[in-house]
Amino acid sequence: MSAVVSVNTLTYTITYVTAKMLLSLKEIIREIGLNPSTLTEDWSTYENGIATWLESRHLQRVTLEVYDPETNKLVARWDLDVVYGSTGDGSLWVDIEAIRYAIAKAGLVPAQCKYDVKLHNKPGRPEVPGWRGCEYRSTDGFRRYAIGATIGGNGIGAETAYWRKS
Amino acid sequence: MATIVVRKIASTPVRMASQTWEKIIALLAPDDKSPARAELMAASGIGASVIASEATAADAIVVHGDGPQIRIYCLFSDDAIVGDGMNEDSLVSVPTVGEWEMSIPCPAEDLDWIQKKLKSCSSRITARAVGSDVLDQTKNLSAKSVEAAVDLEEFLKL
Repeated sequence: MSAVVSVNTLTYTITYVTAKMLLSLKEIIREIGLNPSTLTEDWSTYENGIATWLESRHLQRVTLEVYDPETNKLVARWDLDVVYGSTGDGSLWVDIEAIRYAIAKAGLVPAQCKYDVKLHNKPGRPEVPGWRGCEYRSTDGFRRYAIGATIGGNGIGAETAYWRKS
Repeated sequence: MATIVVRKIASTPVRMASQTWEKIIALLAPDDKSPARAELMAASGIGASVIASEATAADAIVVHGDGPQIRIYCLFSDDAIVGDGMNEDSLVSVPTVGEWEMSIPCPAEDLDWIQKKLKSCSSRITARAVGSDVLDQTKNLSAKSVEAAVDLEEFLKL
């Protein structure tokens, strides 16, 4: 775990949490055997969406859906659940190792899989260019495994969980 | 002896990673209609992801061409907030006019896919694993000689 920053503002926290959420997604994508380059193509769009909706407190979850492009069915899923109001000591921290440990248990996905990044908001979110409404793929037959808190800040954090076939 | 100019740009949590890359582009290619600007913009996603991984904290983004070698580091965390050592001053000359190349540091485990991605969007920008040497005309510079290099801009201020 790396811990940083002893004094911060809400803006700094949002910037930090946004960056570490995207970094976490990149790590997950690479470690499960896929190519993160698709993620990088829309990096600033992801930043804008996550940061805007963290600031407005609409953002509840960032999800990585891994799917089979032939069937469009879910293969694996990772959730970064946003936790507002988490008390902290003023530091910002991320625990990538906890995610890597969980990836080792979750396993690789077939190389032909593709992925989507989806953000779940409370109703009434402000519009952000590049984003549109969508649905989750079905998780029928999958089981959710919680990893715990992986990103922390002053008043905003994230807990990670993954889904795999039960 | 090569002349080296260093810049240290505030990044997370002061700026988003993509905003940091935009700041770097503005330094290196201030003309927003230049081919270099377009080439650097095409690599924005890779640049942002590398910055988000903080690979640019201890290893520089290196640009070399006809003029002095440019080394750009990013400041993170307290260093970015306090701005200790920050130097975002404009460069005296534009380093991306004519022939130029850029080397971006990245985590070793990201090197393979980043190299492939960069190859698809740029002929001048390459990646190297953090901690490895830059493969350019300055590769024979030892760390000692780098420290002893003349900072032309600082010299001209005297």
